[in-house]
Amino acid sequence: MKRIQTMNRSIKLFALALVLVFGAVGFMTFAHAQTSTGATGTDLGTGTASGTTGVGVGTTGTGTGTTGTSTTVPGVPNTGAGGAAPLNWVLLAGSSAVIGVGVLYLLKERGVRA
Amino acid sequence: MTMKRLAVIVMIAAAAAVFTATAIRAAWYAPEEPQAPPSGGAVAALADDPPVRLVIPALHIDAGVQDLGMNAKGNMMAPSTFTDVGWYDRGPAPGSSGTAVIDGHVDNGLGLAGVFRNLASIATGTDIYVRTRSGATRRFVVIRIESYPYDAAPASLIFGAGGEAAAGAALNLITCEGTWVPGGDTYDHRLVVFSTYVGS
Repeated sequence: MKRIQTMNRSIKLFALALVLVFGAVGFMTFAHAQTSTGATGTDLGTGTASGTTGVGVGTTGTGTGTTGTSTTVPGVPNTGAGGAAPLNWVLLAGSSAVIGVGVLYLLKERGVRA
Repeated sequence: MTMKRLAVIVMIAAAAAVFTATAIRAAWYAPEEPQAPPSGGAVAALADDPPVRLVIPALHIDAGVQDLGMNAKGNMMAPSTFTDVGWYDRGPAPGSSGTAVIDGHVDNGLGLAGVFRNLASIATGTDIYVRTRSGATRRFVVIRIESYPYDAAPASLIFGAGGEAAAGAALNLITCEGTWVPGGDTYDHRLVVFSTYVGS
């Protein structure tokens, strides 16, 4: 009986430690995601226009031109997230372990044997 | 219910929340805050026939296209999923005069393949197809592939304001590559595939 109590206490302490560790890591991950920065964009806002030279007859020439299109130039996008993969895998594995240990504890408390 | 039992249940619930949030954020969803458009509606999409699908048979890519603007940092936004691509809707549509830009993720937060994982293996001469909202298909051909440091990429050239593609219609594809920069939360290079319009 005393051995079971000791084991329960150990499981509880282990689970509590896992919750604290992964809770802290999760919070740091979230905070990091909120504050991380990518490349800074520069809004050049340039446009181009082209036209043809008019042909003049007599004293007055005529000319036509086309209106150029304008593109607001942003910075390059950030299209990768794989560098965060190790941390995310640790979070998934850690939380899975906590769930597993917790469920096993509850089953054991109810007297269910594996 | 004993306090011990309650504590274990709370612990399981907290772990389940961490698991779910991590899985969703890392595997499926790449959120970005969009930048509010300038007042007065000065910026409008130049497209009269926006793209809805990007197809690159040589790379087995057949992806939906999201309309994207700029994020709060002034960069082109990235697609909100790792399987779609994004078209910069403050520039021309693919096939219209000027340079259209489409971006896509190279990988997700678990290191699994994004839509542009294999973009680096594309070769010059490869066909790229864009299907538009009207049902038309625009064909482009890759003319060159470049890699730039992420903090020194020539945005004016990539987005067509440098004059290179002013004479015709071009489509540039962009994604991340290189090594991870932990402090910047990004890869250190951008891969750009330049292509030119050859017809519908």
